[in-house]
Amino acid sequence: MEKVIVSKRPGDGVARFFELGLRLVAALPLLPIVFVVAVAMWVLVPGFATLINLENMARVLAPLLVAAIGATFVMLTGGIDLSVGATFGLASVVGATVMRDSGSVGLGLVAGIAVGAVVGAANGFAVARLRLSPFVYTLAILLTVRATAFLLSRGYSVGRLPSEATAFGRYQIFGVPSLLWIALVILAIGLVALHKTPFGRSVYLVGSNERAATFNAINVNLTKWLVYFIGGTLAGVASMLAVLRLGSGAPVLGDTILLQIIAAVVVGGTSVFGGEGGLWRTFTGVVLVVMLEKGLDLMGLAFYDQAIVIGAVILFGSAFGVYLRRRRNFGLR
Amino acid sequence: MKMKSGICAVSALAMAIFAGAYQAAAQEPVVIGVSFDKMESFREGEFNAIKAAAAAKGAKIIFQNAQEDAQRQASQIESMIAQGAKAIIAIPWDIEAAVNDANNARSAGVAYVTLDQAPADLKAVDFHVGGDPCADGTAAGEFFAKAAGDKPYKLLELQGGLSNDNGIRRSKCLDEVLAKHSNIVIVAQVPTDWKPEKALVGTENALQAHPDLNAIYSPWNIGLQGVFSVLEKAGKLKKVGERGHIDIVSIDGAPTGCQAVRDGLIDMDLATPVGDMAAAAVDAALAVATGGKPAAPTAFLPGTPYTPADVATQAPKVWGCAAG
Repeated sequence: MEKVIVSKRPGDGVARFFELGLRLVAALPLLPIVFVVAVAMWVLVPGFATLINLENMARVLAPLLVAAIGATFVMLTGGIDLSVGATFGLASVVGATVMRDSGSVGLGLVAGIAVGAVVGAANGFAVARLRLSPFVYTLAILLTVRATAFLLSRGYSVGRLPSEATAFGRYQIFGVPSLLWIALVILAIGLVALHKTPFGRSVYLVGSNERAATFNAINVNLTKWLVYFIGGTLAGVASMLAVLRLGSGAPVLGDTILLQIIAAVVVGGTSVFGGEGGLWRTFTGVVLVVMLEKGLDLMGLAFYDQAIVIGAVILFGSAFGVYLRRRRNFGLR
Repeated sequence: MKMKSGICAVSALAMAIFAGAYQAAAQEPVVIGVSFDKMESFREGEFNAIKAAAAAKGAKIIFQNAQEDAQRQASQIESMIAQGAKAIIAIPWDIEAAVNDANNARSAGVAYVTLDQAPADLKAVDFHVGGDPCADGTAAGEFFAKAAGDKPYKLLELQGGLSNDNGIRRSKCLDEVLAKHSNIVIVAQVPTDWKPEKALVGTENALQAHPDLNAIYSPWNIGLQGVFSVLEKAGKLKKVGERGHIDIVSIDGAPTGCQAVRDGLIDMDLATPVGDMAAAAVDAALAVATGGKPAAPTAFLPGTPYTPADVATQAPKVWGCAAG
């Protein structure tokens, strides 16, 4: 039997590794920034690489990631949901109230998620069916939903939840916080939905070219309705993760999350015009935002200093992403 | 023999190292994590008082500002524990979430003390020290009742943040006093969330609807900025004793409040004893962190009332007068 000898030129492996790296960076333009920031924090910030801080970051990351996944679906169709923070707040009030009054954590979770689903469904109907501008409509909904949360809670935060609620928020599975597991499962489902189903293809096509999507027999209205429904539902889920972590809900709970979500999705590399981006990119964006916040916290920087640093990194990260996209694939085929 | 002396030498060295390490540990300052809900002039006063109290006791502090975000505050407290804080002094943004923060810290063996804003459940914390919001609200109510006498009296009540104890009880205890006086009508209760712009809008609306307004209650000094702005625009910013003066009572004793009293623009301010509060919080945090216990689980310190008539003599007791 003839022996097949595969000749390898020296440096082939390195070249292939380099090409793989380039492909990875082309797919996830924020990855190098995430890597650099992680290394910098590791080296420069005492306490950053400790187990307790990593667990802490995981718990902070979970609700933000879940809400950002929902927002990514919406933005991939070229839409935007400004009501996500207000929905987060309302869902937390309703979920926490039901938990406290019924004594059932499960019932509270269902109620909170249902609030998100209802707001999302209404948003989807208004944008897809009534053809209202997503920016204007969801801004109006933001105000209405926020006011509803204040009316229901009279401005007070809602606590005294069953002890199982916060126990679950602290629970760990294989050393990883339970909240992060939930977020990762949702990420996995989102990835399958986006890349392995006809629905995912319609999301990208609607975002790239709505007219072309219509010609391709894609139900544009249904796709739009679904992404807002998913966005609202995941805002409800994210809110429940925050309630489990904090042991309370409050109408102001989602006040700061909207900007974090938009920052994470956009800096990750999902286009605000739709059709380009994805959940892995959002994941890198969320990781960057959380790492910066926690790292700068540990460095003792005040919130305004943090805002400047985070703003600068987001600006630089976005510009770097645009640069990479312009040199798309670096000539790779 | 040689081996024996070797073992002795190693033992002596180990003991010396252990003793040195123990001494170093004993001399190492206790780290206290200080977590604030936000920063404004009153909080700056509180922070300076904590810094001074901690320095006097030889403790080291790490500071974080949650900027009105309960999630950020929870995360920052966890970070401070990761950085080796043995005690936390927190001003909670969300009084319900503070209970969970306290449980988490205490289960990690870290003392948890609240300052100024009481958590929803005082049993959750090792110690709480604050002003006495009810006593302050009551004192303000009694002032208005006296000023009203038997005449019809219209009062605008600005409220603080209703998600925290100070906001709730400064309002509730004022209302309880005023409810006993049928001639006093609260024309509007405006929740401001401790935001001066909401105080401004609330005052503007109330003054439009009731140009014959007699009194304004601003349960924190920063709210006065909005109140003064509206009154000035309406030509109603008069000094105490002048014709057309609208009675104003506030709480805090911050530099803004002290200046307003000195200028005769408000009738009374109740100065929160910030220095005493900070010292009590630091003492309790250090006591618990070193295995002891605070003398009492809570301390509520009523404010010091001062007016344009006695500001000169009361100023040394008012932290904002000293800071200003």
